[in-house]
Amino acid sequence: MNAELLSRLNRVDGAIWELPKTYRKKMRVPVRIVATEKLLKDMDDGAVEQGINVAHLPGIIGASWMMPDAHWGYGFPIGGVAAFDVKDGVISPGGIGFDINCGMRLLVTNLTDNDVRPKIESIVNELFEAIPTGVGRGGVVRLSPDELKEVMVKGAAWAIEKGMGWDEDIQHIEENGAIPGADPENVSDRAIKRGINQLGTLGGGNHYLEVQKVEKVFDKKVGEEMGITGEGQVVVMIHCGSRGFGHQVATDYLNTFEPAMKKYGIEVPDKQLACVPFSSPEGKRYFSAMACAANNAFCNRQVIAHKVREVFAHVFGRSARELGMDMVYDVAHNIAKIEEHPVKDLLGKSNGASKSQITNHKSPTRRVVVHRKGATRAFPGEPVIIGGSMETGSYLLVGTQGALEKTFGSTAHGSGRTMSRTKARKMVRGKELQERMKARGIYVKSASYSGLAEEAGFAYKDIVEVVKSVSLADISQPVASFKPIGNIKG
Amino acid sequence: MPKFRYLPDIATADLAFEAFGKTYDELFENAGLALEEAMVKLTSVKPTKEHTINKEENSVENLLYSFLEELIFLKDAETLVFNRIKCEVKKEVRGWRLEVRARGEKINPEKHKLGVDVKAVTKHLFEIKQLPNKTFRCQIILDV
Repeated sequence: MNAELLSRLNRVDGAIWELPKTYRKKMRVPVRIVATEKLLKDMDDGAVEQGINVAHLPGIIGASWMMPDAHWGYGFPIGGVAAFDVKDGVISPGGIGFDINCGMRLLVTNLTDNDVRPKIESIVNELFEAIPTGVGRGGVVRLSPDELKEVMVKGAAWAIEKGMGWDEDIQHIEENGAIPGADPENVSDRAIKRGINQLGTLGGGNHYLEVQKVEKVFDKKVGEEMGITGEGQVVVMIHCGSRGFGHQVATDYLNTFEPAMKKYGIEVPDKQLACVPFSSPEGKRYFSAMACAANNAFCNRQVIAHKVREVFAHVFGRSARELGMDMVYDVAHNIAKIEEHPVKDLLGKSNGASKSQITNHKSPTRRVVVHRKGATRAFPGEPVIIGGSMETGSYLLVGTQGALEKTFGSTAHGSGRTMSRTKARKMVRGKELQERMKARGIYVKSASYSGLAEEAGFAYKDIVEVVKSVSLADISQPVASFKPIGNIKG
Repeated sequence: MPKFRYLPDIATADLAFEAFGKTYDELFENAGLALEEAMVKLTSVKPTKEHTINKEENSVENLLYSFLEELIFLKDAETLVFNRIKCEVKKEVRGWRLEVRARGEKINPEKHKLGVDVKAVTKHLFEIKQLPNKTFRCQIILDV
């Protein structure tokens, strides 16, 4: 971050920094950043600019929040959280992302590192065969348009009804795997055509499926409640979203929002922030279509988890039940949700907020649309899954009361890129990276060598600092950390 | 002058590129190739299947956006990638019209050197401008 911008930030809490709304004309609320001093200094100027732009949007409440993994995206920063009043506020596809309900799913096993390591190559190779990855790969489930519409409404339950999952899985998914209000009438034929062949596919970019071992347990009691039995236990983490279907839903609505903004007299500092009143017909239709895409993503991760169970059962010659392959949780990190939150500064008057103001317990509640773009829900006691780079490892955290009081019940989602894909590709060749990782005990199979190079560990922020930031800010607390053993990616 | 170039210093999480052309036709062709190259190494594709695209929009910017969006749609809906693209951009009384003849083939992971899966064309920092030497330049950020 440049020195001028840095000098304008006030520390309002251990790891919470505020850029007052007086920083720029037309900012309606301040920008608040969750970060250690190190991450704050390293944060992209581009990302902070985007956080500032979000603070301009009509009906924004409290602050435009940036999580410690925030980085430069389009429209909202990735790692951005913003809540809008359901009556006077807006909804913005750019605050959710094209990959609607991109998210994380975590499964445990009763296997240990010692059981899995000798078989890791077979596991990874079979996973790679069973779960299509990368550009333009069709899915393992053939759907008719009517079946896809059922998926849009039922979400993960659709797959479980078809035998791809266990009944209890549904209790371990945000919103029980289906956001209400999904009406397929609000989805274009184009989105259906784009997504019909992709259920059960991983996609590309930073999406992955990883076999990991528990490296360290930070909270034994909470860990046990979530299914973490101890160090060395093998778990499986899935990171993917709604695929072409969701990307098309977002694209379709961004196109209709631009002309609609004129109608509602909304001006935004960046085209990618196109938004409409949440209560408008356009806003309601988008929210409904977004729910269709989100439910499709819950179902997609359900199908993939089913394939993971099948592969493990095949490799170990025991059923997935016998292998204890229970779900820890499935959580979205690109989504808008209608939630009730305590809001102290109802008029957005939060200039020079003190710690006591931020953590005021006796606030009235307000119904808001929380946009989480590259941010995870962190309600008290709920699991939070933070995916790191494929080289460095990932974390399981637990949500806190602090998150409800400060960040609209939100926390970080990953380690956050710090280097562009183009730069990363110039630093290392995919094949070389694959061999280097293999020598370190991480067996990776990818549909794209260049894609692999772009995901190298050095292209990401230090996940330890990210977790330290959210823990200091008390918006979630670490339960366990994981190290990769095997990985498939697009 | 290169046809296109990926930009390392903007949009950390996504993929930014600039493309050039002496005419709008050439600018569109090169922007299309930059998008395709991000998804698949162009030299690994054989131009065996022909596909036509027709678009009409109220501005040249929207026309380019809608053309690139169609290429992304075809990558998922038809699993088609292209390495030969011919564009005709026409200014008409009421707006802009584009006719495209693209050649390529269905994605085959055994055969093609695949790159990233592009999700969408974003409008963040999207621009087309004419440089002092009359060349057209566009800047595009893809969500990947």
